[in-house]
Amino acid sequence: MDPLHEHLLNKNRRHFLQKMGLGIGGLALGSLLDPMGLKNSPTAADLLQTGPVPLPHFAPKAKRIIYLFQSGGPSQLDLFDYKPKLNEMRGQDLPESIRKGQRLTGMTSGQKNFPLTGSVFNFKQYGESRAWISELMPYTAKIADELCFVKSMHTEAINHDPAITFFQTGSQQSGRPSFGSWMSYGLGSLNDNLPAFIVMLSRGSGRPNGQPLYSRLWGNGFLSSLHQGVQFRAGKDPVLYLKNPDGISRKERRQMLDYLAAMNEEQEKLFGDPEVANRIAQYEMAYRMQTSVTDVMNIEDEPDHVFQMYGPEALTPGTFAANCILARRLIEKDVRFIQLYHMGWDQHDNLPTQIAKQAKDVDQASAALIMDLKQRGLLEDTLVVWGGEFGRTNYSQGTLTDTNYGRDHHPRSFSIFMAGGGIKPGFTYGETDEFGYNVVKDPMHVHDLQATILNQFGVDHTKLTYKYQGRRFRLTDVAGNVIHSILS
Amino acid sequence: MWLDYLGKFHPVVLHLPIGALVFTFIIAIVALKDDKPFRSTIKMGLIFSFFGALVSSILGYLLYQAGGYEEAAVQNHMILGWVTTASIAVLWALFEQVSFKKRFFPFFVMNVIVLSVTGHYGGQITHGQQYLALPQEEEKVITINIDSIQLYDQAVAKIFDRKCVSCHNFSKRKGGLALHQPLAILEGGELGLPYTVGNAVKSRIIEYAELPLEDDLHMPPQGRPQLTPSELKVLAYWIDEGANFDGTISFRSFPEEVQQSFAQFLPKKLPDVEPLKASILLRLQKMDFRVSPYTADTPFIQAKFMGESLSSKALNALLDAADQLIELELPNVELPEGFWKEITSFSNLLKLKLDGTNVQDQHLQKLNSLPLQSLNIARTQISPIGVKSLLEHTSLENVYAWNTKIASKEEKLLQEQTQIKLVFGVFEGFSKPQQLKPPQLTTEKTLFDSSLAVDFFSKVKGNIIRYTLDGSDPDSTATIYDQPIEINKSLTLKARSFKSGWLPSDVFSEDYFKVGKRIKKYEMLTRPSNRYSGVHKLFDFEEGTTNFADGNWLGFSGNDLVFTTKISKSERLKNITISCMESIGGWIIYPKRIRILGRAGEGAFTEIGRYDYRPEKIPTETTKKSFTVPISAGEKTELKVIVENVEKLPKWHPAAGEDAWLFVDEILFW
Repeated sequence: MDPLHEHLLNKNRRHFLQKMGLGIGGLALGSLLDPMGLKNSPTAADLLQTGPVPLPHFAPKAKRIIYLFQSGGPSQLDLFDYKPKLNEMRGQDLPESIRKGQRLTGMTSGQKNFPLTGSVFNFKQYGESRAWISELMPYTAKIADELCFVKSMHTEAINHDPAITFFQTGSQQSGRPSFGSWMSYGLGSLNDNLPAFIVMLSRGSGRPNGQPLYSRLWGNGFLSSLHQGVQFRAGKDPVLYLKNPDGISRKERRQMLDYLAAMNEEQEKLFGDPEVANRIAQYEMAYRMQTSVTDVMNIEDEPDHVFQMYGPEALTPGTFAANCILARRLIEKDVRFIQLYHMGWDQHDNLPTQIAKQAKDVDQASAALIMDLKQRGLLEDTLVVWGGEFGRTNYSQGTLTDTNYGRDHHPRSFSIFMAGGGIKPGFTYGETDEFGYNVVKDPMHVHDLQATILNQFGVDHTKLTYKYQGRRFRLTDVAGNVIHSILS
Repeated sequence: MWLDYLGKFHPVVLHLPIGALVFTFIIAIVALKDDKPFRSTIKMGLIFSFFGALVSSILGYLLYQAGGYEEAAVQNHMILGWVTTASIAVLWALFEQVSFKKRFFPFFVMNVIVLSVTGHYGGQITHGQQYLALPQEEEKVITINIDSIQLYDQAVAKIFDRKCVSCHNFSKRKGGLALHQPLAILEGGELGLPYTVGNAVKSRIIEYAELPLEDDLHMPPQGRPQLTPSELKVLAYWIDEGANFDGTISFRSFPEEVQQSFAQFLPKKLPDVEPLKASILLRLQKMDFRVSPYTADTPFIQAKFMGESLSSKALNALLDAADQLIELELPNVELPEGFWKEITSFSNLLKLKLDGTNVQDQHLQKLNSLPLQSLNIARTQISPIGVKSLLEHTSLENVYAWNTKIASKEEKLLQEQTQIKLVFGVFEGFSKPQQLKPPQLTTEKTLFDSSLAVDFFSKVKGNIIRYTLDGSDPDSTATIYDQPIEINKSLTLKARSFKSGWLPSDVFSEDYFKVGKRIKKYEMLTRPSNRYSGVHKLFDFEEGTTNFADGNWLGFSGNDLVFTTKISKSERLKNITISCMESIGGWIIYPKRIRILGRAGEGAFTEIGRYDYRPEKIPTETTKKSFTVPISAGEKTELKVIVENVEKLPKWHPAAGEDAWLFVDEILFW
């Protein structure tokens, strides 16, 4: 036998045995021989189910998501989690009865003492929901009644990369598919001309030289490469390597792609590697994106009042605010998963000066984005999530002075907020102790958040799986509970 | 009053004549063979029936006068009642006159039919229209998790919203009480909490609702929509169970009557429809509809039209999928009148998006017959008239009417008339004039030896940059930037952004420096760290930023920077400027001392300039500083520059005692 053709048989044999094992061998044989031939005519529902499993499992509340990832670990104690006790006990050592042996990073594990420090910023309650918000976030405060705060997030990782990877893939070790890839894999795209998963980055002014991010955070892991996140950039080339080289017209590109596709199909017949088909699909997507991306990235046609709403930063491409406007435009085009990363929330020292700048970067634009979605009627089926990978300590890293302190990483409790997408507005979930250190009521683990978000898309997180190397993987690994209390 | 009371005996009396008449009828059937033995009995039956019917009709009339029944149903029943009574009288009169078999009996049959119809109408009044409906197949199990019912969120909050919140809310707080959200409820009113936890009977909220309608304390007040018995039951159950705002409870644990009362708060079941045919789907897709499934196990679909104008072909394809269509999006689409003629066909439509379409006011009332929950008419020509025609809609929850012809003062008026959430746009607090960002330069180069072109960039439409070169702050009369600015001497450039509708930016300021000498030859006597190396960077006129890893900086770990370079007298050098940085987190400290030595020819080096740096306070932020050292070069032909590292991190530093870094970038001779 031609060894090159053996793989085709292998594939069939394995599938055959698999389906026999499920007890529907006879049918499976038929469907292997002719997948469409068994049924007389497929129904519309069959045609609409393009994904690996029939989805959504139940009626979805959200169709699209904007995840405003605040990279670096925003200090919950200076933004949302108001702890006056820390101001009273300023300078005193963190009691061991609270720390309970919590491991520390190498940056403060050598510290002789852990002086507690409250926030130098003033907190007030806002809206009918009386949510506590610090003076750093005045615009967020204005829309408090649209938001659902979770004050009881907790994670397992204590350093940036594992913690972000945990949020994005459900595992601290890299290599698993990211959240957006799972979503693209399960639910598919709502727009044929744009990727289902788009990522945009911005650097914060609080700590401009903060940790970098790696593209594997929006990688597809073991899922098909069709599902990987596509990074859009500010500037002339929003997507790298997308435009035609000088001297090549769109028509010539078309001819080239057609011929390339024909050759690739030959190869696919020979080798049966599904990645060949993926590659053909990606070329086609890139071709369509040559026009669709230019349209959507051209924010000059936005009226002036939009820029006013998102703030002056929005006028400068590449900023968080400008990315927020882009996110809204992409939502209008029904992009499934849009992830903005804003870097620079890692305030180990000089927290008061740095976080003030950092908060100013995002406050108005985040709030404006939510309200803009609302007035356009998009918020009811778009979920907005705002939050980082972990929180910060209630004690000062380095010297505590009257006006200055720093905070180290803190995985045991931190705050995030959400809006829209069937999440209860004007609501606060969970509580920390008066030291802002441990969760005392309604904890929400990272896997719980992932399960809850999937739930809003009509997906049972235990059923969206992918079999790889003999094991069925899922975003929430072997954990995660949907938190029903925050659903409206 | 007494007559009203008598009316209540109508149901007692009415069954007597019915029974009598039916019994008489049975005797008449038997009498068909031979009527003689039965004639007196039949006559007797007729007389009894007539008087019974008469009394019953009169009592019925009195009951009708007392009111409280649905007019149409009662009218039919009453007219037929009188007809029955009258026809019994006729029957009685005919009995002696006509042939028993040929005339009397057929008339009797008709009489019994009229009686039955009358009785049916009567039954409908007391038992309701659906009483006689045929038993139907049991409805499918509702697919929500009935084991985790959130009593407050799923029912109690909705009851409050429907019946109480219009007077007890954040802004209107009758009796000091607000019921619009948990925290407000827990604050209570002037009389404290409106309920006693665990005891519904002793809870004011229940007591007041059960008071007679006329009582001043009755809630909701007379004239307002009242709590229904099932709402009251759910409310009482919630209080009895502890009046919790969160936590879940199993539907199965409810007492049966509460289960019944609660049923209305469970999600509505979608109607049964046929699966969509593949051919229709393909047609829709061909017509530029993007179709997606609602859920995998229902036949429902969502469709979005991607074109600009809805053709009649496209509309027809859509109509073929009307039963399955649950969400329809037609953003910015030109809709033909035909669409509005057919709109009522979409009888399962829950969500309709018409933003940016040519929808008119008169179209909207047609939507009242649809089970819509969400309607988007943003960016259309809809006026308050259009929105008004929707306010009574029974299922609508949200209407998005941003950017329509509704003035802001009318928005509030409309919202007050309805429980539907109207969203008109949310610029409040976001629309105040904001300050522009200062202009930005394309290059950060500020040093040059002959001339330098300075270039601003701005991607902001309508943004005007004005600048000065004389050190004054630019105002609206300053020179407008339209081409690169040519700089050929040391000066300060100041610039500002202007744009109508925005506040001018802060002043951007940059010092430009014409350097006398460009160092080309030098000899390094110490080595920088491999990670931050490249000695030429010291003299390349590219200044480093506050990011020590930006590639412009030279870093020395624990050691000094020392180099020599040749000079000539003709250059008339007076100063040397050295840029350094400091970053606590990066273990980078400013130099402790800068020494400039000089010699003529091959002689010994002597100190010709010196700078001792004594920091005023312990540094906290990452900063950049230029140290200028005046020198007396005289006849010297070679200079030796020594930038001294503090060597070990000082006591106040978290890593005190470790090797300190010295970071140096540009070194200028002038």
